[in-house]
Amino acid sequence: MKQSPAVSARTSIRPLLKMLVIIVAISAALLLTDRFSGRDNSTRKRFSLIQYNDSPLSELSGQGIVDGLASLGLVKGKDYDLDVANAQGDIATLNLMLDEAVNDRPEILFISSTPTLQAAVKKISALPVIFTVVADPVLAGAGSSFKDHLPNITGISTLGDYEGMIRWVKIILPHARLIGTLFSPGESNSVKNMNVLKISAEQAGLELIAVPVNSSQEVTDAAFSLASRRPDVICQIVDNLTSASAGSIIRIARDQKIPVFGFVSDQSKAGAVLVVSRDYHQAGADAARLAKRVLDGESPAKIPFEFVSKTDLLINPSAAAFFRIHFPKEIFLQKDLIITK
Amino acid sequence: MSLLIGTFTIGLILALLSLGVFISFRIFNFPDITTEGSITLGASISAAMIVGGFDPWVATLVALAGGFMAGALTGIIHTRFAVNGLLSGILVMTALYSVNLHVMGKSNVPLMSDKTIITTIENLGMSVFRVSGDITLFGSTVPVKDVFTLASVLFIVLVLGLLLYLFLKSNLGTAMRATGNNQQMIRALGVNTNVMIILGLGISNALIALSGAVLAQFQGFADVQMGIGMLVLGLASVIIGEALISDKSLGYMIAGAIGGSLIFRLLVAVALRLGMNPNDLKLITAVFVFIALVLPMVLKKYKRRGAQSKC
Repeated sequence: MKQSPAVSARTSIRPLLKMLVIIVAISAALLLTDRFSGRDNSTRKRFSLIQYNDSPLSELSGQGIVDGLASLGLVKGKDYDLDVANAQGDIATLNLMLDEAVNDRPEILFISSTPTLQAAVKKISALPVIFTVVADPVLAGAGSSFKDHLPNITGISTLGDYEGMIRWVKIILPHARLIGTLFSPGESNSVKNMNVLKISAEQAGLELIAVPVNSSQEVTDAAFSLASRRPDVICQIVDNLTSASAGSIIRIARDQKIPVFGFVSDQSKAGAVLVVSRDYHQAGADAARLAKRVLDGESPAKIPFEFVSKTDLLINPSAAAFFRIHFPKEIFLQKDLIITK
Repeated sequence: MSLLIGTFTIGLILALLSLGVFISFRIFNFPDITTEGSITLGASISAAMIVGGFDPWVATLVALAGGFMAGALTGIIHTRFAVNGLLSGILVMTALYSVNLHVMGKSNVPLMSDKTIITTIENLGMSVFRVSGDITLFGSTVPVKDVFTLASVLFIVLVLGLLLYLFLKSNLGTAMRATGNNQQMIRALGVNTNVMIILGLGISNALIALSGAVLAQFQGFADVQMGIGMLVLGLASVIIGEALISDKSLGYMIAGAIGGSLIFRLLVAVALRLGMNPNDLKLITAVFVFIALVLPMVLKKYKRRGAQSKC
């Protein structure tokens, strides 16, 4: 164990020398590389994408941005370079990434998820920012309405289609009275989504059981707890926590003979009977479309926030057969219907 | 330049965290996981009060007091109810998650156009020095308010570091350090070790909550999940500082905790600057920290061997 330090009268900087040298050296390295970052001689445009954590949502939307830009005639590596940064859930690093973006001065800064938008609202004032995968940009502080917002920020809101979901629940399971979901009180997106689902459900005469879950280890227990209250169907809302563990929720519900309806397209393959999905890939593509407008000279201030433009309906017939659910004919007439094998 | 200023600012804000962790980890010899709850507690109290119209300085002080109570509670659970220290921290941290949700009323409070201690300092600096807009430093332009933020955070950290030093040198502080070293000995001298542990953990978590309060006001929001992983960050900073400092007396240890936090953030900034695959960020950070830790040792060995071969 360390000794109680002796009182030393001498004060010298020597013992701190090693540390100071390292601090100065790294600072100097950062300063010297400043001039190289962001200023290369190529004629390619430079875009940055900052993500808060790794989830299917951030991956799909990121791919959507690249594909969306391609469909607008901008090819990655030829017409533009895209720097992708992901803070992997660490908020201090997220702040540094935004500082680096200020240094870098990309022509467009794409960001995904709510915490990233909030940090950007505070830090970025001189760059055009285009967000995606944010349920409620107004709540995040990016503006007072979809039309009246910060002059350099615009983007795509991905609030789920909760009314659409409830409509399908009433059509497919006309006897349903009770629906359930897990939600994560720690995520403002999740609370918002849960409340919107609740309101839509109540308007349709359904009751919502919402079970809180605070960490990924708790998801299994929470899913059992939800299942034990015997909802007619689990309509699992979207948030970072539960969308990462959707597979286990679906498996547990299946064991308890409760069908799951979801909001993320991936969940259809994992066994969700029906998915009403804001297309997150499309959300990225929509963000790319807004970016193109900004590149063509429009001011972000003049571009209102938009909802993602496409909503998919996915059905999984083999999962439906397991629960003896019969899809009505009208579902097969939907134009964005995808049938999962 | 913006990255460097941002790195130093965050590094110094989190230096308050590492000072707090220094107390629990180095003086009482256990990693106090209350940290992950109390940093968020500080952020949520200050954010909720600022949004509620309180003066930001008052809000920050209340946040500090809240952190003290959380730490003291961990101390009480540990000493009065003889619960293992690590578990006491886990209990309080777990409870604080709900408390923080209640304090904020939701999971995330934005502080967009509200007056915070950071904006107050920025405005004060700009009016005293009669400057505004951008200035040029080392060939790149930076907003002058960022410079004032950095200067004021540096000032806060230096003052608190000095206060902590003076406190730990006082009679009470010495008794506290002795409690960590040898409980039986100091109890024999008539010191109530339980009170020392409760008080010490209180001070530790007060500093950590202050760090959270300043962080929330700096980044413009408090989020209930912002504490995740913070204890590990604090521990890493303390240990980096220790490894790089050759003198183990108190003042240098405190300086080491501050410097360790700076170095950790600088290494993350370098990893960001290299602009590699984002999935590798944490791996690279870990490798860099490892290099920073062992490099001085390797150099020393190399030097010594060189000296020997000469003889």
